[in-house]
Amino acid sequence: MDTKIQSQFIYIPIRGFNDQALKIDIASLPDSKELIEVLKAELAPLDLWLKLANEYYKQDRITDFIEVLKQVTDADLEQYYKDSKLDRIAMLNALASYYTQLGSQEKDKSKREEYFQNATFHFTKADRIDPHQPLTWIGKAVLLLTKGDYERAESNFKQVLDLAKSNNTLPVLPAKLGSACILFNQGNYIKALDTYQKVIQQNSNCLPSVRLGLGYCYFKLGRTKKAREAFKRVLELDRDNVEAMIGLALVLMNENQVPDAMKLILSAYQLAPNNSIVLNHLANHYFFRGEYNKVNTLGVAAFNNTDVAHIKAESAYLIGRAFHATQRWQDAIQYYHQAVQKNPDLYLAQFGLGQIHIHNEDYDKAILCFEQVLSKQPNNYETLHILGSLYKYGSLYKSNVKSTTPTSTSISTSTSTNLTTNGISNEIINKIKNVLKKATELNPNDSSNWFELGQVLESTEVSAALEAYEKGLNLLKRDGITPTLEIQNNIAVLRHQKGLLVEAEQTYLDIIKQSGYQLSQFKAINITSTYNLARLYESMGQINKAEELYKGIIKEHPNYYDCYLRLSCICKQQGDYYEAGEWIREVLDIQPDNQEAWALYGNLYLHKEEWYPAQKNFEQITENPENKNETYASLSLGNIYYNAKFSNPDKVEKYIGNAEQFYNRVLFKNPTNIYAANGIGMIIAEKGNLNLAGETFLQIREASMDCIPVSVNLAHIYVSKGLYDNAIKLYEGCLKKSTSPKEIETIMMYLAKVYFDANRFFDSKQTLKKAIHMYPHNLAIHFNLAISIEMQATIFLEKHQKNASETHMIIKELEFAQRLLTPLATTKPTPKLNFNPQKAKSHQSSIEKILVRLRTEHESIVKIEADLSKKREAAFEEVKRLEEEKRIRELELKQQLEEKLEAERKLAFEEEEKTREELAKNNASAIVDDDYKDGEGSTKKRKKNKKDQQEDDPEEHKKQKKEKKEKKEKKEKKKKSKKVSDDNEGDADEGDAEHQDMEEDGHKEKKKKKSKKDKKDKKDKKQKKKEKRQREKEGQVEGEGEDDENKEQDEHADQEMQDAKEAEKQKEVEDFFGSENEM
Amino acid sequence: MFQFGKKITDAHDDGIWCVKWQGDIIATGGMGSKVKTWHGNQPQFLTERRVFDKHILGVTSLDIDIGARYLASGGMDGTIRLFDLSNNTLHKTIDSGPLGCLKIGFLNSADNLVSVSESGNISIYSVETGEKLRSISNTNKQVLTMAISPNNEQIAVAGLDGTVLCYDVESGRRVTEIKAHGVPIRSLCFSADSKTIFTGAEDSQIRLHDPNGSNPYIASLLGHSSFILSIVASRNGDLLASSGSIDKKVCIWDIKTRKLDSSFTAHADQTWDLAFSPDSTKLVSVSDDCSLHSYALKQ
Repeated sequence: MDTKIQSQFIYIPIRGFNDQALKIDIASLPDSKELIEVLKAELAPLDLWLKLANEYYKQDRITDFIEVLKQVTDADLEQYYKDSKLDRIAMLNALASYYTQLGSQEKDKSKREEYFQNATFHFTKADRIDPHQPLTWIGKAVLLLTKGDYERAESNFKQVLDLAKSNNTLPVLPAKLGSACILFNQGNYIKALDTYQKVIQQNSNCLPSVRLGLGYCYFKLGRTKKAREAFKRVLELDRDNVEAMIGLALVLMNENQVPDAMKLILSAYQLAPNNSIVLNHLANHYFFRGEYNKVNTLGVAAFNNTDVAHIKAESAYLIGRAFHATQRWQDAIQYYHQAVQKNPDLYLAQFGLGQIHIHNEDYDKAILCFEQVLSKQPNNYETLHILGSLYKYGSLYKSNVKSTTPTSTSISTSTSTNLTTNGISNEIINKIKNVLKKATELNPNDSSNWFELGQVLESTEVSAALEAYEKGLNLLKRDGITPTLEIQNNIAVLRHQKGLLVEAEQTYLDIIKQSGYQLSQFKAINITSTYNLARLYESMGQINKAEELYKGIIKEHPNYYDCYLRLSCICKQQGDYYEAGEWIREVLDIQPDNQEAWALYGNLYLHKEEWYPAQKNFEQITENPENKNETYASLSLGNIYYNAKFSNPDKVEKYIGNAEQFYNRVLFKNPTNIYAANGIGMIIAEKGNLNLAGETFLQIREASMDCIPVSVNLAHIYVSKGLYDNAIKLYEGCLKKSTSPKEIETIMMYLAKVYFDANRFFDSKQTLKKAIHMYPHNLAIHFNLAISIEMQATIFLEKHQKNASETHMIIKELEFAQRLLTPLATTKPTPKLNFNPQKAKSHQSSIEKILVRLRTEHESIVKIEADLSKKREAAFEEVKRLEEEKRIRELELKQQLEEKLEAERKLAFEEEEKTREELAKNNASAIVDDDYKDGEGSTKKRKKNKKDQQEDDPEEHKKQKKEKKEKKEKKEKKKKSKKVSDDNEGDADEGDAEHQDMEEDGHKEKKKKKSKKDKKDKKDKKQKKKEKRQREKEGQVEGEGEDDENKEQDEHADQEMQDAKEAEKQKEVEDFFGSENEM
Repeated sequence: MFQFGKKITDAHDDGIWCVKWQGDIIATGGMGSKVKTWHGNQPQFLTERRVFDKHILGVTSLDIDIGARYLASGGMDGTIRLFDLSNNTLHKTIDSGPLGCLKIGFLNSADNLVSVSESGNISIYSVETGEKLRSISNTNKQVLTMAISPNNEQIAVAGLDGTVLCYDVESGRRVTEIKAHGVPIRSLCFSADSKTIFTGAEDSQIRLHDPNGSNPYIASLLGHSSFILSIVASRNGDLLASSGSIDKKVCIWDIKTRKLDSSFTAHADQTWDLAFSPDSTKLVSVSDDCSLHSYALKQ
């Protein structure tokens, strides 16, 4: 396109005459028709055609230009110039490029489309001649660029540039410029700048428009100085370059040289009165001068004169802003909307839109707008600030309190919606939190943000909220500003909630002091704080102070009904139900439709377990469906009806139906209400569909693990299905979680009951013992404990192995149960009594029966055991005696041995003496005499020693003897027992007492069978059974008792310092006697 | 400040409900029928001394007289067992009726034994003979706790209705009635000088009362989050220890400043009873988790 033609003449060579040519003056080109004829006639080379067309173009003779180029598509010409492909391509490209340019400048959409189609048509034609011609690619890329298809344009440019690396002749420049342009549009200003710079370095005398790109790059990069230089240079080269003017004006504006900038804009306007950018700038200018009408007209003109979306958006935004400023809200919204539609990134328009939505109190929409702004400008403090306060007014936030989704009665849907609504409200709170936290981060010195943050966190995170408030407070303090009483009050409330009671008290007192009045004056200005202070005193346990304050407030402000209600609650807590009711009645006197009072009144009656008046009160509330206490009242009514079925068995169905109605009513309004869902579950169970009820409770439980009533109900279901282990697990879990003493009491009873049902009477008893220790006044627990003991005893009665101490224990427990039941049996039956005195009486008699049986059994057991122990003692004595004997015998043996030895020694000595005497006789001298004396002395000593030994010896002898004897006896015993017992007893371990016991049991039972047979014929069945049982018991108990006695004796033996072996021997002896006894 | 000392896990087979400390003897009893004594002095501190297995069902209350001569234990079945600690033998058995010895305590050193039933009957027995000397009727109040003033002049009982009733030991007359709480009172004790009554109730509050004042209420100590099962005052008059049910806490308070001195959450279940050592430098606690814990004053 920018080929330059140096010569002033163009010579068309004449066909057939090689050196002759037709000279055409460029300055006065003939009409295209003439020229085409000449060219055709002379069959001029195609580059000449192109040259001529170019000349036409330069002289603005566009029709001629087109005419000339058009010929290239002529079929004849095509045929003729078949070989000069390049030239044909060039011509086609030129034509296509021209159309591209036309298209880019055309505002009319359909026309533009036509131009682009024309361009595409010619490019394709060029492609058909040679698909690998870079020139065509560049042209096509430019076309794509103008059509806004940056991606494909970019790839085309790239292809060209890649090719250019290997082929220097290619026209790189346009491709480079094109890609720079794309880079710029993609926001990659640095790379674009780089490319522009390279282009300029390579061709220093390139078009000024290249420098324009450079300038814009600099401007976007914030290097305004360089940008200004670039724009100025463009203007030096081309005084009338509008874009450079705009660029320069922008630079100047940014440097606050608005008048200079405006001058430029104005001159640009004169040059190009339809340039939308110029118009926008002008409009903007007038906006700041307050000439909104001018803004409007200019904006509209700009809007209509461009097709570029973001320029249109800018115009729309300007117009909208003008309307916004003149408070024409509806129009403003319209234009802002257009602006946002055209360019969603135009956050200023979003901001304006948001502001108008706020004005229209359309908070949800406003939130959306500001969220958009925030996503574009995440650190925009103003937006954060606005958004933070906005969230609180949004409907999502409110839905936290109220949800309107209708649901069916099915629990599953209700639980799922429960989760989602919860999710949403949490989400919104988190959003607020994040926004406000960010705001406080960005501007930690703005106290209002901290207070806002504190307010948001109040309901969820007390500590964090308090921290935020305190930060805000410190900021205010730093600036010497006293915070408003409301803020102080909030801080005090938070401190109260956090348990910083003393600090909270101080804050309240400060607030009251600051107001300039005394606490005792109860002036309106501190009334909330005073009320809060009273509530604080309540939590501090200083009920008297609280009461005083409430009463004081009432004196000065008789309509402050919260105080009456608190006073009522205090009375109720202290168990003064009458007084509590009186306080509520006072409220109702002032305000007959005070729903809170009705609710409390109902609750009070519930507490007193007076169902009917409670019902009446709650009905009062449910009459008005708008009431915020309605849910509570409906729920209570549902519960009342449900409970009524217990007291009035005739109307169960009706009551259940009523209860169901109320639960459903609550669920319809508030599908997240777990208690109502729980109620529905209860009713399903009541109707007998245990599986569905269980399913229901399971689902509710999933939604809220910590709702104890639901878990308890689920456990009930398990109990009725016989899944005791599951029920026990659940009840125990509930016991761990529960914080209410009353709840724990009932759950403990449930747990005991399920143990009872599972025949685990011992566990049942243990649980009830625990329960009694915790709640010694609950007579039902007494009753249940007695029954558990009875059941345990009944089981024990059937047991085959009993011993005296265990039986004794059971008897003692039974006696205790009997004593527990005595007062219960005589209690007058009242509806509130949680056990049946009649049953207590019957259990008393049944326990008595068990007792009688056990006592007789016990007696016999004791007798048998006493006999046993006597025998055992005798056996023990026997063993002792035998041992003693043995010892003596051993001693004797030893003595005999010693004596024998002594005799031998004596003999030897005498012999020695004899020989000595003989020797002495042979050599009779005095010395020998002396020797003799000495020798005798020593023998005397020895003798003495021997005597001592002899004195000890008899005992040792006995011992030895005894041991021998015992061994003998042992063997005998063994033989005997072997005879008695079965073959398999043969290898019984002596030391294993238990084992032996078991064996004994074995053979005892055999004996019993024998006896049974004997008596079969003689006696009738009943008697037989009785006897058999008794026999069984006698036998069995004996066995056990023996074992126990053994142990006792073991201990005894230990004390007497006897060794274990001896004890074992004893056992053997006793065992022996035991079996003998049986025989 | 106190610090955690020793921990005896499975000190009993079942939950432990009561503990007392006199001289160098610590006694414990609970749901299991056994009563155990433990060494209170180093080096055998908290090692088992003796096991007394004479009760059936549980042991609800026990006491050791100030001279550590006798140990009295009250069973759930209503039998009171008096053990002679000098030779560890059973001295006497007293039958007080079912739940008739909900709480017991020695009076006048080891001369008398006081027992209060669940229905509020206060009986006084002779330790020597085991015979009932007299009883103080209590207009059918449902009682949960009892305390004897250290000067042996008064017996205080409290229970479900939240009021504390004080009886003069000598005359048996009711001398004071304090409306202490709006909820059941679970534990009760006198200060070392017998002038202040401490109550711990199901409202998680400990309250201080002056039985002789026109407005008995003095203050509240807040720190528990569930009902208070036990409160005991140290013999030197400085400290008050309390234990909670669901919160499983053991708290030690400075009586003078009414501030929390130390708090422990070491038990795994409700903590039924506490006992200070005679020199007030140690504390033991017992719990349904079957363990026995000790705490010692930081030196």
